[in-house]
Amino acid sequence: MALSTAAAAREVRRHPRPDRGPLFVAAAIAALPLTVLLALALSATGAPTEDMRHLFEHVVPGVLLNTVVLVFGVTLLAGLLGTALAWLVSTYDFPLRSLFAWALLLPMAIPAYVLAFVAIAGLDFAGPVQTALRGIFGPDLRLPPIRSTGGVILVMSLALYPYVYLLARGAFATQGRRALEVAASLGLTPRQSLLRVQLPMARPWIAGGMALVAMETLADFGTVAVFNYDTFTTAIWRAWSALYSIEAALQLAGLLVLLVAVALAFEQRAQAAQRHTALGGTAAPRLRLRGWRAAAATALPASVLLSALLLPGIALLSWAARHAAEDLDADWWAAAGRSMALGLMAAALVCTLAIALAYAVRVRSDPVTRGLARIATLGYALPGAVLAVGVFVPMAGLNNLLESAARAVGGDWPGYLQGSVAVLLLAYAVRFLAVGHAPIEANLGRITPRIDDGARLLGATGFALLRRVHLPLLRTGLLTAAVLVFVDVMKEMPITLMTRPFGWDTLAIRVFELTSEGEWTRAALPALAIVLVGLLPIALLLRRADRPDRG
Amino acid sequence: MQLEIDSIRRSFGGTPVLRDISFALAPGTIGCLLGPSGCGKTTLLRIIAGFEAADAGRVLADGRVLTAPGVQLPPHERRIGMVFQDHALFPHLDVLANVAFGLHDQPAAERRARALELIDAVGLAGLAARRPHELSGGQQQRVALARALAPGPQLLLLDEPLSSLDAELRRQLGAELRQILKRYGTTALLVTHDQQEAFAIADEVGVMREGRIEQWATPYDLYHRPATRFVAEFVGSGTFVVGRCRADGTIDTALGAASALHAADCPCTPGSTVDLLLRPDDVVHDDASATTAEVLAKAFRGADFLYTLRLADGTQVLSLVPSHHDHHIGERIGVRLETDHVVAFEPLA
Repeated sequence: MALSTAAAAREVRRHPRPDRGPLFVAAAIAALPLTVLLALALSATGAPTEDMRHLFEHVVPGVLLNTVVLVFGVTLLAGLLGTALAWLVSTYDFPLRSLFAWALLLPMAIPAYVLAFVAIAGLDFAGPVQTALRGIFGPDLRLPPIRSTGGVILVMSLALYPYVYLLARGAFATQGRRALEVAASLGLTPRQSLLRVQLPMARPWIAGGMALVAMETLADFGTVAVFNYDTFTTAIWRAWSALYSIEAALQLAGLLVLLVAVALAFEQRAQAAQRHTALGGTAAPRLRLRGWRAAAATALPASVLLSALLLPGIALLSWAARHAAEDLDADWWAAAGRSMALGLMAAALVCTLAIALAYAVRVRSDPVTRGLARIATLGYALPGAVLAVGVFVPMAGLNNLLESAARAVGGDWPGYLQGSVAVLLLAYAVRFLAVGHAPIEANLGRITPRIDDGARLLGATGFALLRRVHLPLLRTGLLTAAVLVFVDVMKEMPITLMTRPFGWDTLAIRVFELTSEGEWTRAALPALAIVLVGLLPIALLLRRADRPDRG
Repeated sequence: MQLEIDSIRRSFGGTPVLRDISFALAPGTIGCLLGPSGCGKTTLLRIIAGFEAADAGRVLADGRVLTAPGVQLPPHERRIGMVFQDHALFPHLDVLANVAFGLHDQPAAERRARALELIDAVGLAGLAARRPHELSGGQQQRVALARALAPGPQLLLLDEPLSSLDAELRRQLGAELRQILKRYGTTALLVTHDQQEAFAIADEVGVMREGRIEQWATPYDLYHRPATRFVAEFVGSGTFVVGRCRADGTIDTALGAASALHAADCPCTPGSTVDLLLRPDDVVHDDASATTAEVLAKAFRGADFLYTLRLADGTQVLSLVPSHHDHHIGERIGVRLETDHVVAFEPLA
């Protein structure tokens, strides 16, 4: 029991000066996205070459216009769709409402690029729908072409509206009965309440969802590639793979980051506004619709689900069945295995980094560490195509450095750093750290310092505290994080495409290669596997998010 | 506005919540429904506001039917304002916009002027640009009151308006609330489970129990002339002592004779036994008194002690004693009855 006075003094002195370790951990993790941004920034400072002038005269204007049109179109349409659907299912009661309430989240499982090639294969001039219609209405029938600006906006909106729907539904549910009662007691009709109370109060969430949609649209590569709709991401890819111009790719990536920063600013502002905009109270009882109103209210979610989920699902299944016999070969399984392996490795890496980051903030809850954590998790805003370029450049530099160092000591540098699995995983980690960090941080936040104090009083300290108290409590957060990262990596296309080691084809790469050859129906088999895995996190989400909705 | 509640009934899933409620509020009166949770007071308030329908009965405002069999005027057409328990301010609007929210059909300048007038009236001048999350609980409550009063409702409903505030603020704001309502001459109906809140604000109080109004009276009468045992026990503190009625109209008790009987539900025929309600201020400490009682417990309340005393026959009574009379537990002290009237109830079977 007797503690020597020197030891006691040490014990006392240790507390006012917290460990530097956590700070370094947070700084190291934050350095990853910062390095990428730095590489992009440095590239912008170089003297303009002839190539660059060509790029800015002939490529950038068209690509910029396309990207802006696409982002505005998709953000508005997905925002409208998500808000309308959320408002319908939370305000009214109509046939199949409770089914729609959760089923409307399912399209999240289908990556936009899968919906894209299904839509093109199904609705193009030679596709089954138009062929059948020509059979009925004669050969002169012309539908508006699916491969158009309108087509790509529609498809991406159908794939991305769940972001807005999920947030808006939560907002409508929590503002609840009370807000409507206050409005009615102040003389507002239900219609006036919608415009003056419900929508304004839900605005931070709707805006947050729309900002996420904008960021996803800016980051998208697969969908626009399928549609041959040139945006920054496809232009980066072309500069990279066809022109072998790292400089051009870097310049385009830098411009794209500027657009992303605008969307990110909107998202952060919306998040800040959300903090003070909850009214609380119980959920409002839903008004029962009858007659044609009920029919109309059922028709909207039904048609969305039909076009975003059911018909694509049926098409995928039937096409996959058609090609399964010949395509399910050793190559296919190898690709599936590589997808799984990359997903698992990335999940493990991200979970490790996320725990380290969350603990660093917990131990040293000073503004600097918090700021570093924010920077570290900003990678989710960086489009995959940007990250691929941004990771490649410093890695190539490091590679050269190692090579000359090896030569200097008379050795030989065997490696080729920028094309290794390690770089691929590093890029994944930057992009998906936020995805894994959020559930772990939320989970850790619920383990209050009082729990720590209680455990310490009972004799569990240091590693024992972590093992016996924290890890069991963190299990849910860790599992959620791992599943989310795993699925995101399975779906991921541009990073994998641009930084994978030679021959490392995954399921997503197969989809890309088959669709770029116009082999639409053969792409269904790998796409189906991705969609099925993608249902996992939706199941997790439904288990948590839908509980209040049942009330 | 004259509010008339006529034979309102309501049940939820077969359980009656309101059984035949009737009362009326004269224009400019502040009424209060006081009762324990689950007595149906909030449901009644929501029926008057129009958020709930009644199974039977009518709600009339100056003779105009708001609720009746087959009639259910929507809440927004009733011109009834409401202050909610949790304030329910619009978090996306500042104080001025919150208060001006219910003002339509007037030029913007008039709306602004009216809102500023109300903000001033509730003592928040200078805070018009604040957001709700920047206000304290008491300030939020004032904004909620100003917002409800701004459109000039013919009736104001208040659902436990002070219950989310701490005790000191509750007392202060209660008095102020009454002043403001009186200044605007608003007819108001408040529901609460807190009698201090009811007494501080209301002119008339209806004590509710299990869907019925047990007594509708002024706060003074509720305290001094409770009509039922429930009212006697729910309103204020007190104890029952056994008394024997005599032919001359006085009642014999262990503390001596009591007179000037107000027997609400008890005939008190000579020779019969009754339960007398004694408030703590009915039993006074007097060293000269021949009757003594043992101190069982005491609660120091600042200006006075609340003693729990045991009389010679074992009956326990409460007594309010100035705090410089500090007696030990177990000590015997002299007591006597000091009442201008007492209330007697039939003894429990």
